[in-house]
Amino acid sequence: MDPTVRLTDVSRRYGRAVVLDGLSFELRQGIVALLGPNGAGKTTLLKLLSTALSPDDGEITVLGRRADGPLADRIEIRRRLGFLPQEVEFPSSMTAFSFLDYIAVLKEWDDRRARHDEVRRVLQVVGLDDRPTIKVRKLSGGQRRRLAFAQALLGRPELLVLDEPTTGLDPEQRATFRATLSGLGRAATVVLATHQTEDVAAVCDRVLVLAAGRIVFDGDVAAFVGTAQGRVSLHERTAPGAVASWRDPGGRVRSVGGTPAAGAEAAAPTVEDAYLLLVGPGALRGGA
Amino acid sequence: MSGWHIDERVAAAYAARMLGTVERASVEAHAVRCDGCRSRIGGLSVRPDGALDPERLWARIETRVVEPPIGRLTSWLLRLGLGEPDAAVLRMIGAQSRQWTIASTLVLALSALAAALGPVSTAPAAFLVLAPLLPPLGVAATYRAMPHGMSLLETTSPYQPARMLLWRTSYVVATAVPPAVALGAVVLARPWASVGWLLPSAACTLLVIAATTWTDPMRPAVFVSLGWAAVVGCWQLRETPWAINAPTTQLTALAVGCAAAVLLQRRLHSPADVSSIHRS
Repeated sequence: MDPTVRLTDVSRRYGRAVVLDGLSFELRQGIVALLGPNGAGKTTLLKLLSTALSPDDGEITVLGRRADGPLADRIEIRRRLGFLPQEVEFPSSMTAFSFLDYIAVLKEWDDRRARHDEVRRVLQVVGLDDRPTIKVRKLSGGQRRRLAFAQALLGRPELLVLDEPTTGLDPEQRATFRATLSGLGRAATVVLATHQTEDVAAVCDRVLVLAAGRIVFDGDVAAFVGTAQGRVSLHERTAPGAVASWRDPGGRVRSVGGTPAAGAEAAAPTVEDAYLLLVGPGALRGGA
Repeated sequence: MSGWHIDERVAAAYAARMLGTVERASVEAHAVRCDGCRSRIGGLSVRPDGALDPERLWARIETRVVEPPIGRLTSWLLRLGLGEPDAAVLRMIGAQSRQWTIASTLVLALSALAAALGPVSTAPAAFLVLAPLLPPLGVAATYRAMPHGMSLLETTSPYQPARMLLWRTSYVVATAVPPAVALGAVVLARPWASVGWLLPSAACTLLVIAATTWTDPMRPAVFVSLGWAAVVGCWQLRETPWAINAPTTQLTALAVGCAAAVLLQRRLHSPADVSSIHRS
């Protein structure tokens, strides 16, 4: 089966700053987590995948069409794409229903009845079907984020590109979101940029880590966590040279990396540990 | 009772809430007296045996409450033959561009006031500077007025960028040009001069739109505005204020407009990054 996405030696610059530097990878059906500190190039990569930007060098093929090709190719990709930007400001006068209705019009749902049925479907998927008439400005931050996610689901896209979809969601909403995402990942290719490492462990099949515009890890979640095996310890004091450390609920210090002190207990690593070890102390300042 | 009955087309339009207020009232007034038509338009809420179906009725009520109503503007656009999806896009552009509409109305009102109160000699110059710039500034403003993130959603949708551009420009032209032409007829008191600015204005608008495929819309809008003000200023200094109607001016505007249109067409269909047209 052909990959949904294929990048070959892709670079993108803003002025003199190289944001993405020679990326090459393929994506297939399933959920891929995209991790990396702020400024690593995640959002730029997502914009390239969603045809909002073109690369300066290299080739991008999405769903069999060139994302950096003629307009007809880009429009064909957009017909089969769902994109959730990092931030969406809604026109304040709109209701949840009318916002989705407008986006559905842009997605070529020309038949009014079918379009409204589809809007109701996605409202139900994100759990906002009980408040379609409320003005968007009266929705909470989490509800707005779910509404933004709903527009990406219109038309059951084959490629979903999601930029930090769980920002602003409470724990219960995040659990619901993960369940929804798991279902989507069985039928589509989902690219999920996130700094919630719990989401990665819960639903993702594969992890891509970007740092300074380059891929520094590409593999499945188990392999990613495995890179931290034997490098996380619990002790009364912080391990010298640790990348990060904090006191756990039991009162002991959990150290990631460094040299464990004598008598330290080895701890099972998590996605967050692996990420901190890979990207370094800067990850704590920049987020994933 | 007349022999007229509600046909399938009207019933479908009624069910889809596509009828205007008067037509909808007529349909409902007739349906009250005609059982056949009542069951036709109420097909969603009446069972075949004529009994009320509460579930279907509730679904219809919910639909009425939830779905955005077709406003007066949309009904009017539909009557003009516009498709319902395009009318929805225009409605959204209008909602996003209220500030622009208010600003352009204010500019025209102030121009009229200045013409009425100020020296007679300066009124044409002020009008000739301002009126042609309303469309290019308006198109730039409609892109700048888009909420952050909405521009990205538009860019990554399959809706044709050229079509979106057409609707934005149409909206600006429809809201700014007719009042400006009317004002020109009063201020300039010369029939040709009151429409002579339309071609230069179209050229300026196309220039701004074409440049917008490279950069933020406001930059070319400001650059073109300053250029146009300089041209009108030169005419004033040379004491040739009606040069706007000269064939040379009109032909130059036509040439610039055509060149900008060709450039725009190429940019919209090129594989190059033209996302800046949506300020992403």
